[in-house]
Amino acid sequence: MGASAVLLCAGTGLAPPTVGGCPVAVVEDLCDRPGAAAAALRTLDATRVVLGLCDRRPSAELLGALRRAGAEPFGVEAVVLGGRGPAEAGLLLAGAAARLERLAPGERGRTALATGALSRRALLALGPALAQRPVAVIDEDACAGTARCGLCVEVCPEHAVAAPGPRPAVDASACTACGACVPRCPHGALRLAGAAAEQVEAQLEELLPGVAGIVFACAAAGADAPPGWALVELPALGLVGPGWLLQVRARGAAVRLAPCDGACCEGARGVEALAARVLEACGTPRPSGGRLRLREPLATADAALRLAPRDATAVVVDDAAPLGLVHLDPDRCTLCGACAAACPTDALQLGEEASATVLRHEPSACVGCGRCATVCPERALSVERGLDLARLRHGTMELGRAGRETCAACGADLPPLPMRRRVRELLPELAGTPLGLCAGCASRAAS
Amino acid sequence: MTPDVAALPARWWSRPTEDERAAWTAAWPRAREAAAALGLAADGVDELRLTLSAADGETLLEEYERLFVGPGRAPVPPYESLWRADGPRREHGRLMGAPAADAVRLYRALGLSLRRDAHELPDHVAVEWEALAYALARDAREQAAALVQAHLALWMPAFCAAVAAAAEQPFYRALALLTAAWTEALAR
Repeated sequence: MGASAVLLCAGTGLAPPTVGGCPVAVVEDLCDRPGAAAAALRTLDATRVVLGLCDRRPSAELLGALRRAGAEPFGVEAVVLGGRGPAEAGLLLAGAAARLERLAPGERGRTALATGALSRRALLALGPALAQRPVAVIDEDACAGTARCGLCVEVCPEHAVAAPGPRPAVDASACTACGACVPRCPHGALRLAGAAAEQVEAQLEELLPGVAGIVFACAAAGADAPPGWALVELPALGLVGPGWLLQVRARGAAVRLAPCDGACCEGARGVEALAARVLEACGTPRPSGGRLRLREPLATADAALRLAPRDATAVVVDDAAPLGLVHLDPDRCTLCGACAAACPTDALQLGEEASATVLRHEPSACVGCGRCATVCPERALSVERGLDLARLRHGTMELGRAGRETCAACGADLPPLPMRRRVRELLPELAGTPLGLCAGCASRAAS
Repeated sequence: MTPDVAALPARWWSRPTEDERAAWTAAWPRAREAAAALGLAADGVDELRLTLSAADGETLLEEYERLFVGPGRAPVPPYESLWRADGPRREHGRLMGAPAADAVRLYRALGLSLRRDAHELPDHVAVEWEALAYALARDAREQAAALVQAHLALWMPAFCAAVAAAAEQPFYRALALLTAAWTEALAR
């Protein structure tokens, strides 16, 4: 992993000796002298750099010069400090440094081509600064594989995530880095290059104690944060789940989104509306400390629990929710376990205990994908997206239970009673056979 | 403005290899839409399509080499520096003059650089159109306006008229007329 450094424009009037343990160099007229910035970076021998700029974003020339001087792709975080006091500026710089520190080693995006569909034969190429575009990246160690999960393949609006084998793969040339797959991955295996959950978590941990609010902004929106607030720029707001907003609120800070007009931020309003509904359901928020978690669906579940009073019972049903609500009709369920086998997150589990077969559901792990309802042969399950504060508080709950029984004749294990009843209903020739016998003993008894 | 209004001319002014011609053939509906976006009728595009389908690939390649490359002095070399008559007199008719340097500056502002394996000069007609396509796609209005007003609009009329006069293949005559019309529409 490369070392980090901070380059400050002398125009900011700031000169702290270090920021978050990183060396600081003050460069005269940094904003307009890419060559001087590159020289300073080389002197500090760093590959990751926080830029403290006066009043505007870094130019393409400045970014290009830094990349040529050895900065990693996604290794440059710019902070516009115009008009901020030294304490506030120090906080913003430390936040950016913390985010860079968690940048995955060797993080790469995709090489962007110059023009549209005919561009493979392009005469012009993008310079190194802009050549790396964010792209969805899959963490192989965390990914549960397509056989068990594969939700990302279903979610991608560009069909850029495919499952050619046991692991999903991102087609970088088709990925538009909209971020839609990120909050939908229940295993936290997806990220956008340069904006991983642990990077933003580290940045927020630095910022939250000292700011009034956080603005999560799409990089394309060109947004600013009001005084006292901090701007957290992301490649797309698609990767922001409602849990991000709730987690910040749970820490006592205000939060809002600054989306762009593009497709990458289409869902932002829905996410904001859902967070508002959850907050309303929680009543007066009770800010608390605690570690920040940005991986959905746990982020939403964890924040809702921290915000809600102990006796909250509100149920919020909303398609933007990263969590699911499962309803089971106990008269139909035969405890066959097909739902548990299909569940990508093990939110549904069929447990064989010493004395009973039990179907359990963990609401904080359920992403509401609906596969259980699809595979249930008895149509006993229905799923909607949303969260139930009482169920979240309660934790894992039992949806169905049947005592274990053995065959009265031979002593073999019997299927759960509801299943034996259902089989008898379906097969008229079994009418009248005793329920306490296994299939073999029952047929011997009949003949 | 759709980037296609510049992306397509960039392709049509490139060497008409077999791959390239196949790409053009797939893009006629886009070309008609681009013409409509410029407020122009589609007959320029239709003429280009018909002249391309009537032309033989080998002949087209030979015509491209003869018109724009050489051997010897090509009749209509496709470089802006040679066609601009508004700069200092001593620079007239010289390759890599001030317009080429200004083009490089604009590309850099867009974050672009000329590919080494393109083996082209920065003020080649196809390169300038391609840069404009990128500027339009990125919504970089300042650079897009500069590429049209300070570059293409200043030499496309003379260059296209010369190509139309020198061309032996109807395709290049049609392309010259279409490009002149599209440049005029863009400059408005």
